[in-house]
Amino acid sequence: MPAHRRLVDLLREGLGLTGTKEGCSVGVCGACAVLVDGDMVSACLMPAIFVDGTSVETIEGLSPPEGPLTPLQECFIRHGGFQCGICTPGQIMAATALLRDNPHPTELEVKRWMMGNLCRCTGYYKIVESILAAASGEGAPS
Amino acid sequence: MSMLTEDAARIFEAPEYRIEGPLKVSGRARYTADVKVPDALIAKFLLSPLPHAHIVSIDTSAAKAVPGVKAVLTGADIGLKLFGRVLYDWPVLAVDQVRFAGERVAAVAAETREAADDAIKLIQVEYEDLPSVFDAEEALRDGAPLLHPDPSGYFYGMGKRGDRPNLNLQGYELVKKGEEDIERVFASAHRVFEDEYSGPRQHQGYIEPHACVLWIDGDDVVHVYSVAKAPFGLRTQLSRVTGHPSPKIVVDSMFIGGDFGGKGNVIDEFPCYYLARATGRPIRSINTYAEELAAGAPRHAVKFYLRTGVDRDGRIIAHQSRAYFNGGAYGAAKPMPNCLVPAGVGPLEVYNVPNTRIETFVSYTNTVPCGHMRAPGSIYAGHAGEGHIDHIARELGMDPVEFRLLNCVRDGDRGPANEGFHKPKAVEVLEAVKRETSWGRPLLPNHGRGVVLRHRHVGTGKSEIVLRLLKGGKIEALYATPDQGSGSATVVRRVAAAVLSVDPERIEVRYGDTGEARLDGGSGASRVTHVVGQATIAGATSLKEQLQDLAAEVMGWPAGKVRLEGDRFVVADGSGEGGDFADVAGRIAAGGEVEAIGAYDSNTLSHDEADFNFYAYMIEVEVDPDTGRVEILDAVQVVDVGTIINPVAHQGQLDGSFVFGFGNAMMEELVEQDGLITTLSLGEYKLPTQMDIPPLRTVLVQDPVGCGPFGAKAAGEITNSGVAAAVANAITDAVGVRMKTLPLTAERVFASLQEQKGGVI
Ligand code: FES
Ligand code: FES
Repeated sequence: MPAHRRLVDLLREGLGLTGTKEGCSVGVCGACAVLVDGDMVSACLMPAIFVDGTSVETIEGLSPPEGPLTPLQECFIRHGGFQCGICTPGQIMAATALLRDNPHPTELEVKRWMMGNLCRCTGYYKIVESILAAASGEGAPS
Repeated sequence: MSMLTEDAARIFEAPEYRIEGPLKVSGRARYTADVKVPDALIAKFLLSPLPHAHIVSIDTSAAKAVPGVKAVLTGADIGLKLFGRVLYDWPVLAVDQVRFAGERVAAVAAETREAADDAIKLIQVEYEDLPSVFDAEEALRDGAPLLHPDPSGYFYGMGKRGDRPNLNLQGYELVKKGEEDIERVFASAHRVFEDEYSGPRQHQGYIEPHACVLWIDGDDVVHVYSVAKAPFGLRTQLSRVTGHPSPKIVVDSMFIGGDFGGKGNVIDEFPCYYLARATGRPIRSINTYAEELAAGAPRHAVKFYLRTGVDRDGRIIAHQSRAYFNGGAYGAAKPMPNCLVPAGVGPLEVYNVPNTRIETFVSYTNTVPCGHMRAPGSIYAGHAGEGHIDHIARELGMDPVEFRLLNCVRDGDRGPANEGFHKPKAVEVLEAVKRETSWGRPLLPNHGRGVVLRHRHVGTGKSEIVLRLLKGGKIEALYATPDQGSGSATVVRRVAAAVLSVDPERIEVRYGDTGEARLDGGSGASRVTHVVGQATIAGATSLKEQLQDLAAEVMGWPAGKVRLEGDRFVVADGSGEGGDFADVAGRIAAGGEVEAIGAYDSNTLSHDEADFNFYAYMIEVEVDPDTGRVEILDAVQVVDVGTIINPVAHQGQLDGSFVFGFGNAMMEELVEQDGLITTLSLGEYKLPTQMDIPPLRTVLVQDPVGCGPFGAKAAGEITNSGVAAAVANAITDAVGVRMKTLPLTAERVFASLQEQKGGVI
């Protein structure tokens, strides 16, 4: 991997982890959101070498291929939090970070936190609804 | 089948669990840019920096010498190859001339992105500037530079190309109705009103840039992974451009990361074919977002001139309009006959106007070629037409809702282009505005309300789907409609289950590429639920008959007496005999393949007139007179709908439409300067974020009378086109200025307020 490549290149091209998406490439859309040592970053802005020695969590790490989805992922399906799905891994990584930090956010806190994740399809209403549903305990395996 | 059955009502009522949901929320849905093919080379393109120029020479020698570069192609290498959706006028790679800044001049294939980028920088092109024209109306004036002086070699895929009064027109249309001499009607009018409205280019704003992966196998079969939303259409185009036989082209567009019209046109698949030929290697191309914004196929900039006459009672008696669409350098990205944008006839399309004369001009200019974007052009037709109607109502001293009620189309009326309507719901949605919103109540200072009445057709087309019985009591539905987020796979599942009267979980919907699945017209134009849904009904009905007959055969039941109902086969002879679906189907499947093909062509519509979703908005705003800032305090969309098949996705389409229209109305503009697009990132071309969106309420006016399955209509392109007009009308109500240009930015509103005061801006 050439030294100037970005984290999104390392993930998508180097490691074949294509769940992380690339949209705007300038840190605006949030499609490339991943967690580095638990903090949300835009993988299109971060040089790959910066993650040396850190733990990087991507959408692939949330649920094993045949295993159960997380309650948040379940809620995105039940509440229509996705349409085309291209922004969805980024939305879910961002919301995962939010709920770890603040398990019971208000609607305004959700909107503020999620502001950096663009979605052209849903109009956001159902993304907020999905996140608040997960925060209220919906989607957990019974 | 258009009657709602008990099975259908029960299945459709439950909130759906989308089939593709688990793949999409876990990052495992495979989009085109995710496709990995061994040994693929990276493609990059050199784009023209000039809007109109003669190419004097191209030197690719330094580019070819870059280590890792496997091919550098120019128009001289591949010859003049023209592509398009209906009109093939866009060169795959420029030959002798470039007609817009962003046109592809050379293509590179290299082992790495770095090598490709380096090679692009080393291509030397000498240009000689040519005179340019950037404005749609200026392009039609005498002496304007002609972009396509000799179109005789352009293939046109819809018979004979229509007459064009000027060679700088991609397309022209005159629609008339009623009195031939419309000036006589205007002369008899009580009042005549004139208005001019305009809108800028706007970008579809999908988050997934265009991408393709293309390779040619040992049997000379061309494989294409593409973001094209009409894979069969792309197959036809690729075949016509390259001469490669279409049965030997396989297109796969399974998941599309946002479309909104933008994935109807694809560009890079064509040069990638030639790169694959030249190198013998798979080629992978992914646009940057800057390339999307500079040289995609955005929504046209437009100017409308409207003139309308009313009689003493406020009835519209004559309407004349001219719409000038800036088509850009090529007409290739448009799928309609004569490269027309249908919204040209749209400003007063929901009104009963006896006499009309409506002209649409789509010009060639030295700017980015334009294409379709969610209900193409309709936002501008809505902004213009509904602003004009609001203007007339207020001048006449009539309530804008009552004025619309007086003039809107009712059963049996025909629209401005003489089009008919199947059970139009204009009155019903307006009545709901009066009933369900705050329309007419007192307002605080600087607050205002705007109302809008519009419609959107239910789309038409052809599609085929294969239904087959699988071992293990499942039924597979195989089709080639790409998934751009509408939830069509789940529509197919629920419709098939409703017809067959089985548990929806039994239906496994599978996407197939053009090599495997049968013909489909693509996902767009509000067509899929109607067309694919009806194809599913046809297929499921035929499969059900076969299964009932075969059940009698394998079980030894009396022939002609077996019914599939409630997930069971039952013998309708009073014996009470029957069996579980899975058991009986298992025995049938053991005996051999059972398959049915469902085909549908909407030319065989079950009723005479076309279906429309009518809708209205009531939006309340507050305008800050010191800054021009507009805040939406209340937004209500009233929507006429048919049977709803996926309730969650249906509401999602309406939500998404509103916010899409909100962005178009309030903030979105692809800025063009001397032919160059200057808003080159999503930081500059602003899309709405979570923090921007206003509260929204949806009121459904439901009647299951649509031409879709079980009386369904459409959902994807309805309400986005009405937001701009509703907000603009609300601004007028609040502070008196009429906003005739989009987007409705604070700067623009502030400038209008200053002008109103007579102040200097
Ligand atoms: S791709 Fe990284 S923020 Fe858009
Ligand atoms: S679901 Fe398509 S962009 Fe969000």
